[in-house]
Amino acid sequence: MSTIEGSPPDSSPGNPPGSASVVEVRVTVRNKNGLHARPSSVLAEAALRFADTALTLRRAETEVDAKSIMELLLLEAGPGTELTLTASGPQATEAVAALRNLFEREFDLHL
Amino acid sequence: MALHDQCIPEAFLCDLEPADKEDAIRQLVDALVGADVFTTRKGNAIAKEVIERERQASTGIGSGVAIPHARTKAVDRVILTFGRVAGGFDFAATDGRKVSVICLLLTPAAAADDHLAAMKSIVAIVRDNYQCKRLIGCKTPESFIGLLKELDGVKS
Repeated sequence: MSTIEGSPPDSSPGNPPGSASVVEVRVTVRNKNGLHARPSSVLAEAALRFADTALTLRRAETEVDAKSIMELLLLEAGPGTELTLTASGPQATEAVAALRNLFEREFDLHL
Repeated sequence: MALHDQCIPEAFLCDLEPADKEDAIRQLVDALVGADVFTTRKGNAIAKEVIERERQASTGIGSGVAIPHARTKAVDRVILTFGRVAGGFDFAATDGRKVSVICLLLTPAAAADDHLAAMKSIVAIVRDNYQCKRLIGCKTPESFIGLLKELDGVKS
């Protein structure tokens, strides 16, 4: 498994606007109950808005599609878990910003 | 912990004919009361919590399975029970399909990790097409437990 670098979005400088790019950041599960069903559905719903951009979340060897509630639940990500969020596609930067924001806002659930 | 250890097979309802999903949840909780897992008073509180949770968003995760659940102060260990509705019924599932297996999951309020672990184990079955078909094909408590034991790696 490759080592993951820190947070700055890493779209290659040579990419013309609108072309496919890959962005990877670390995110932390901050809400006290972890990535249970509701946060997973909030996250999947947000991810689905970026139809042309592939979004994955990885914890150790487990990598899942961020657009699927079921797959997100497979991460078994409790409070404090660090995950790697990877976006690939034309809206990679926007998608990563939106999803990272949800992690930081504790999925707007405050439970 | 292994899923089959958390099950209360005496409370499984394999011939459910619920009026709607709230009725299904109530029947499953009542069966747990009937199996002396908790008191009627606690059962009422639990049913209310599970239904309240369900109103926020459907736990019908797709593929014919729903996992209504609550983290509640009314239980002190993870409790799992199954209901089967022949032919399926409307659970407002995310994929729009009818639900024929309801897996009611109750976890102690403080046990976020146990909750995630149990949920993960159930989801892992549901997302595997072959195992999910087997789960939906279970018609008796014994067949549910047999499948879970096998998936938990226990020889029966």
